[in-house]
Amino acid sequence: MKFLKKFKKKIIFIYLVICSILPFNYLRIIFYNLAPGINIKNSQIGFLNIFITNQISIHNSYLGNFNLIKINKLKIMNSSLKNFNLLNNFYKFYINKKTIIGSYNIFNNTKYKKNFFVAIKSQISSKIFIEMDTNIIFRENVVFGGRGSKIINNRSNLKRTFFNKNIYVGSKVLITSGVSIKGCGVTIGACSVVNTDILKPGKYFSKKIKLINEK
Amino acid sequence: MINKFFLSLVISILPFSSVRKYFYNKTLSYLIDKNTYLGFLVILQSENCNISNSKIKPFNVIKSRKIRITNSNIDKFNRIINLDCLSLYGCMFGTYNKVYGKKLINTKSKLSIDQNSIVENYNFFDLNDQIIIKKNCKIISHCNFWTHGFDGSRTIMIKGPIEILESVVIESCVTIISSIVIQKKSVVKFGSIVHKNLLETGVYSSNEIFKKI
Repeated sequence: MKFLKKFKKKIIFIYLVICSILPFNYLRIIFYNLAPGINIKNSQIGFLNIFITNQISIHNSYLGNFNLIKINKLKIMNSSLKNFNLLNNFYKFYINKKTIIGSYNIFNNTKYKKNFFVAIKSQISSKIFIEMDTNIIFRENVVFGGRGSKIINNRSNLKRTFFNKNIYVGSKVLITSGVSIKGCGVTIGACSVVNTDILKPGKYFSKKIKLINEK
Repeated sequence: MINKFFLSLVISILPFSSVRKYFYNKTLSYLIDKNTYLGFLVILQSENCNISNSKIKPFNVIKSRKIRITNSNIDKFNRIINLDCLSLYGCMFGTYNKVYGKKLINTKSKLSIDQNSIVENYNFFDLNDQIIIKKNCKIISHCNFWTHGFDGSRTIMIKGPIEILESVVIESCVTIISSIVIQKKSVVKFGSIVHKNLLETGVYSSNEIFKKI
């Protein structure tokens, strides 16, 4: 019994890895639900999703293949999370109400403290990199379009990172953590650098093209 | 060189740091001292390797003609490839950094990082020419250092060294192009592009977000 108590977490982890390689969705869900703290209903769970979590609840959702999820509390409701994503070192990770997270995204925290990520009716397309030690909230219709946008950790600003309603972020936009975009209906142009708060709605960009010399 | 690579690959998967060090020293005649820790799958390929009092964590590839590492820490998943000389003295090197030289190694491709300097994660160093980072510098993450470029017609390759003097802070996502000197105690802010010498000490930024009317 002492042995079981000591290695409880490792045994659960190995059990979940074995569950992840089982064939057929319904088989995987039946065996996942036998583990403590896991509640999966009406969902599709792909192949080789590795969970290192204490609580998982997934309802009416789609989870693709080959995701690595190291989160204390994971909650996915009516949403989808596609393939090859890395969700690392979050305390809480909630995605709600028709949120779509594409493939090859990295959500990385350096510290495993009370950091949380919440997204509601939002969309994150592919190859987005999010790294911060602060909390992050996406309200309705926040869209990270294109590819290669990054939210980068800023240790000098430990406020939460906040995105209000109806925000569209173009490709390769760089945002520092701790920034809050409070204006509703903001569009941020491709390759912009956002290092201050945006309070009013409108179209924003930070790079102009200019003629250096004529031939 | 191919045989050497496979030999160092085999040595790198051996268990225990001391065993790996022993075989590197005996078979490839490297000089790795007792106080050094070599992690699992640290592939070292060099003609002249000298590592002392350092810690190289697992999953690193270092391929350079000369390797001089003293009192330094190298974290995981770094790729340092095709250099002429790598010299790290008392510095910290983070994770997922890439340092790439040309396949035909030229004598100028040198990376040297001095005491108390910190290079954090996901940085990229292009080494067609040398990059010198002096004492007490801090390079945060996602920075790009380009030592080569082309003219408009793509006929002439423009090369030049990058020199970062003492106590410089380079924030995240900064891009620095070739032939650049950054003066002591300067700060380059988030997402900036450095395309000319910064010869006066100060805080520099090339970005300003504005509203389209």
